[in-house]
Amino acid sequence: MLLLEQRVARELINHYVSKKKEREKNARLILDRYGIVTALYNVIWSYIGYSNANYALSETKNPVKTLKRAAPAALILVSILYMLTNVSHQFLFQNPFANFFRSHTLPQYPKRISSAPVVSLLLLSSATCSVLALSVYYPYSSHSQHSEMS
Amino acid sequence: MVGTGIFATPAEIVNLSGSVGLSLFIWVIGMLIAGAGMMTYLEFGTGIPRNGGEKNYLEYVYRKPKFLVTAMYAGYVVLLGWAGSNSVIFGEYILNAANVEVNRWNQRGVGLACVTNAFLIHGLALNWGLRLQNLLGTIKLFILLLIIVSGFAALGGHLKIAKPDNFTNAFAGTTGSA
Repeated sequence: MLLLEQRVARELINHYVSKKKEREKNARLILDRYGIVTALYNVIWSYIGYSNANYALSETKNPVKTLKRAAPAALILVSILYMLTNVSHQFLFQNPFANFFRSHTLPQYPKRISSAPVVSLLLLSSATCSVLALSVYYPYSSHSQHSEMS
Repeated sequence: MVGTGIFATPAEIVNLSGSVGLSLFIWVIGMLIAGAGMMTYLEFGTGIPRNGGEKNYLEYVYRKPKFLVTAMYAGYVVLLGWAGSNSVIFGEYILNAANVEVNRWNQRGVGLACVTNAFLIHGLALNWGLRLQNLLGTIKLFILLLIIVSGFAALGGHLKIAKPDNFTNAFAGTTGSA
């Protein structure tokens, strides 16, 4: 009788454990899906900015022709640069998950290929550009001077 | 278009996707989606080539009641302005680069200074604003190229680092559901 109870208890525990493992596996699968969607969102966000040209079309010479050529050209050029940058990251780091802009790796990065001011300059320029770009193409400026598109 | 994204996120993408191979695929898929968005804006922009972007397209579609869409768009631009959030991130990066501990208020302070400067430059000296922007844009592209060149230099064995081999099994560790 005792033996039977023990067996039932073991069966129950096994059942519970396998169920739990299954649940954990499912949870991880869902987490992975979130990870991939988040990654995709971040990637799309990196390509954002093609709409900025549309804010200044009155100030562009021959806007239709310019936009038709410039927009696809910009996207293609940027895509090539991005892919090469990503591949290049994998060549530069032993660990593919290393990020040279995390503060703990920042001091190591300059020793390898460049100097610290370059990294600061890069961060400065890219962030300032985003802010400047958004302020200069403010949607309601309509009668300002002719300006070149950047 | 080249913003902080490409400089700050590649490692995060690899982390989230679990493998180098899948992360590169995600970059390609992201490019296709961005391309679709770009085509939409190209269509709008060539159809109504005026200053103001979305404001014009919305006004063109929703004409009645008069100025409703204009007012709503103005509210969206003023209240949810992107420049605000971008400048706070700018503050964070500057403080990181200067090795200063980031907290809520010093990052906002730097961001505020940045936005104020941007408005002053563009309000008082438009040409200098354009020059500054072109200069910064050029530096940005140059640094992107520097990263690319140094990566390929490392591949060729011209840098004093151990030769990387992250592509020998590019899909190892790919996350389960993909």
